[in-house]
Amino acid sequence: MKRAARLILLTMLAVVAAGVLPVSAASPHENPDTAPFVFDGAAVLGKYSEALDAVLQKDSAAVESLQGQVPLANIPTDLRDTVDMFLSSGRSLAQIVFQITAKLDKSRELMGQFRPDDAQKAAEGMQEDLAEARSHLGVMEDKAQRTGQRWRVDSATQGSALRLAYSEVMYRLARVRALLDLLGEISQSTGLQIGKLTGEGLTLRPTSLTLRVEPGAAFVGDTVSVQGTLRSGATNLVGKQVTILLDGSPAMVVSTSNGGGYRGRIQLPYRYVPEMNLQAIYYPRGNDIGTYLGSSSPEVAISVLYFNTQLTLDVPQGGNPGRNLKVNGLLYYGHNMVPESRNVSIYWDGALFGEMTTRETFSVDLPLPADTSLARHQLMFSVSPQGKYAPTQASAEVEVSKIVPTIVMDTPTAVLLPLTQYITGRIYSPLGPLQDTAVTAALGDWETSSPTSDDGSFRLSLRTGLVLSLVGTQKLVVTASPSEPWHESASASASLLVVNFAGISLVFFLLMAAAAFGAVRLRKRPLPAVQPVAVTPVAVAAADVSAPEPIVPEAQGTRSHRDVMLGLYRRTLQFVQRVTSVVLRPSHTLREYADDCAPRLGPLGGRFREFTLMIERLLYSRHGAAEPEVLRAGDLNKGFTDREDGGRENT
Amino acid sequence: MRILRLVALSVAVILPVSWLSIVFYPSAQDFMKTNPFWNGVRDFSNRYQAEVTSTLDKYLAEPKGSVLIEIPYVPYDSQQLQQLVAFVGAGGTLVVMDDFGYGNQVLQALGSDMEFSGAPLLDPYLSYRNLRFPQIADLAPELKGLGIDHLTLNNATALNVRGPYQILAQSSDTSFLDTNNSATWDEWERKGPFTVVASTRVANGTVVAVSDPSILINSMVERGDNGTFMKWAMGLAAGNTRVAIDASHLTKAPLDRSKETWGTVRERLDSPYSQVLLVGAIMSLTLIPMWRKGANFDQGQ
Repeated sequence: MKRAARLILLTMLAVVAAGVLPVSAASPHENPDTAPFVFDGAAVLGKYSEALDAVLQKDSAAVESLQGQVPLANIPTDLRDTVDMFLSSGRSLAQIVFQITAKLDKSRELMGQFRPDDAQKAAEGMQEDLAEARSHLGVMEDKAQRTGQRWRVDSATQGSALRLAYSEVMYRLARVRALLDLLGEISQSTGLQIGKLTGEGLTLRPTSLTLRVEPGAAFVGDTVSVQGTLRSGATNLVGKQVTILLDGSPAMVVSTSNGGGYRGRIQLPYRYVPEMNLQAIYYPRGNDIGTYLGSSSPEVAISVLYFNTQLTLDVPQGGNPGRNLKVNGLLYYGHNMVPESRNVSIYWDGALFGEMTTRETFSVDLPLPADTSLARHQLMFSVSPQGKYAPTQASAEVEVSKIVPTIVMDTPTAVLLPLTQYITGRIYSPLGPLQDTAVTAALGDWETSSPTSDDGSFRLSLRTGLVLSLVGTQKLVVTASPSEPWHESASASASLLVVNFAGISLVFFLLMAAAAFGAVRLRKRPLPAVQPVAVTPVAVAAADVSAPEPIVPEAQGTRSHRDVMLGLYRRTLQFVQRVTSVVLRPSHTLREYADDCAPRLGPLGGRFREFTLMIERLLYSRHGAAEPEVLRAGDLNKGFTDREDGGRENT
Repeated sequence: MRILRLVALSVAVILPVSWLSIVFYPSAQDFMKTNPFWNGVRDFSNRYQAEVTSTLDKYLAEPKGSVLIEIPYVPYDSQQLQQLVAFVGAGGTLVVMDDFGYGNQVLQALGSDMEFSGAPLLDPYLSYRNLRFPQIADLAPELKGLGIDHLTLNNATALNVRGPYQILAQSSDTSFLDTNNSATWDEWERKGPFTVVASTRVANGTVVAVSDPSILINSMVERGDNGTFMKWAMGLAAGNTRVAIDASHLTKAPLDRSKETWGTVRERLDSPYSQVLLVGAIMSLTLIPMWRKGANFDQGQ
């Protein structure tokens, strides 16, 4: 019945709890106030490269747009000003480069119109502009280096995304510097030309330059031929130097040959971008200054080809410290030819973990260090560029955790102290039984340990001792401390009934001894003397009924009126108890007792109530007993004794 | 008898405790109106007078001037989809906010070419705290004109938009769709910009697709200009706008279901007929013992 009731109650509780308790489900978002800060240095450096590309294209609006993004960008606070200053300088630099180019074009145009004074005016401040541009470039270089230091690019491994991004920034900074140098040369040449034009009254001959690039599409690393003609009117200019710009910065210088033609071969850099732009420019140098005007060819775009590589990884979701993590990978080249080999760098949380060479598929066992932290780790495989084959990378997250072994133990249900207890069991994990693992069993202050055997089993003998408690439950805790770093320490516990057999025996013995001693003492003790009652009016009718001592005190010594009245009441009380079988309990007041008994006494009930009230007044007030009251008490008592005597006679 | 007494006692204790818990214990579930914590929608609901309810009858009945926000985390059946199509067709404004749920069911039912990508949209550069909180600064002029500078998303996805849709917000060019959940950009993964908010007219109504419902939650609604954006979305319905978040397609915990049931019961009790019935029932329950006593007294006499 009780079990059924419990079951019903539990079921009801479970049903109700299921209805009201909140349950949090898998969340499609995270708390933005507690989300971790994660910054990406490669992304920030990528923005630097974008800004530098915009500078090369003289597009200050694009740099301004990038600068506008800074307040929303995920940048460490200590780097925010650095990034802002880099982009601010970039924007100014792009503007200045644009201005210089515009001034050069205008100056050239005015010289062609033989307006040296206007040309001079147009070219004014070019050197200052260049100085300012170099100053901005200096700021950008400085900020780029600071950014690199902030992300510790120096300690980043070769091939890492951060290192590559930083290299890209440095490469672009060098190109911008080369552009400024070129602009400086052109500016100088223009200045000289204007000087000659003004001083010697010469007429400058305009030039025109063409550029043809073949083929229109080429693989990275391949060379493309550039050719064109430099003319001044109908005259082919021979022996003049033409600079070829690749994506805005000077890539090579060629000289024109007979017929004004020039020809050269440029190797496309290993930049895996879809397109590169080529342009040829001519500006007068040496004796040409004061004779010819500079010119530039239209930009020619060339499609850049390369083999895409796709890397697919098969990485277990979880790993264990000290064990190998088996990773399978596939390098896919589509319909392209598979290369002889590819160099693959493996990064664990951004640090170089290992390198290998592979072709198409690979399977590698990565030995995770025993001290690998138990967390989610980033594993990245980076395939280096190799000729026409573009670099690629793939990454995965690996949750590193320890395996918690299972302890199965066989324990006694009760432990008798101080006997030795034997605990047996087995420890295993999904990898199999745990061998030579230290197992410790602790019960209160007693502890023992032993290693597991080859099959993971253990047998512990736990020596117990004496304690003060006699009986109770105690927790037995068995702990396994595996030596393998991939296994977590585990523990299992059981609640055991501990019976202190020795203690119980001792206490029992002591109690028995105390009882025996007490019995002997009682037997030897003399019985208290009975005080004779000297006053009538009636003899004690039934001596075997004992009156409650605390309520009606015994009369002692010389008998006063009070003692006489009390003695009479005691006798009356004995009679009432016998007749009514109502026992006077310690909790009863005399009045309550009288009220309880009165209905059973019939006509004597009233007398008993009256007598009781008299006695109460005598006992609990200052009122002393007077002669008439003693007489009345005797009278009231007589009513009872007469009835008692009458009863005896009838029997 | 003792079991019966125990059961009665349990019921007498558990029912009031449960009722109090249902009424006063706040929900901790995502998008719940009674959830005052970071992932609830109490702030949004209070501030914009948006009702979070599973009973959409009054909105479906009066599409004009109604804005219905769908956060489709539970699949739709064909009848529900038809109701939504009818709602939009009759001039209602439907805002479908989804990331990894069943939003494509709704878009397909509306005959839209748009779809939610379902891949996490990450941005390592333009983001708040980390790449899972993309900041969206590429906004349509009509949003910029309202003073909306940027939106902040929280574990969002992107919209694949093919067709004549109005692109209202796009992620940056550093964003990417992390199809393999590696939290880093891999060579084959598409890079941004991606559409995150787009709208289109369907029949007489308007459909706005937002690739992150999390902008509604208490911790996000005032981040960036998310609140102003939602205000704009709710203003798409002409006239006196009524806004409802459809709670029937949200995943709910048992507490939320209990709260919802209690809400329905309370709603029903609000009607005059129900109140008359309730008063009648209470009076009957109170008077029956007295009638019985009276009958016994009569019999005794």
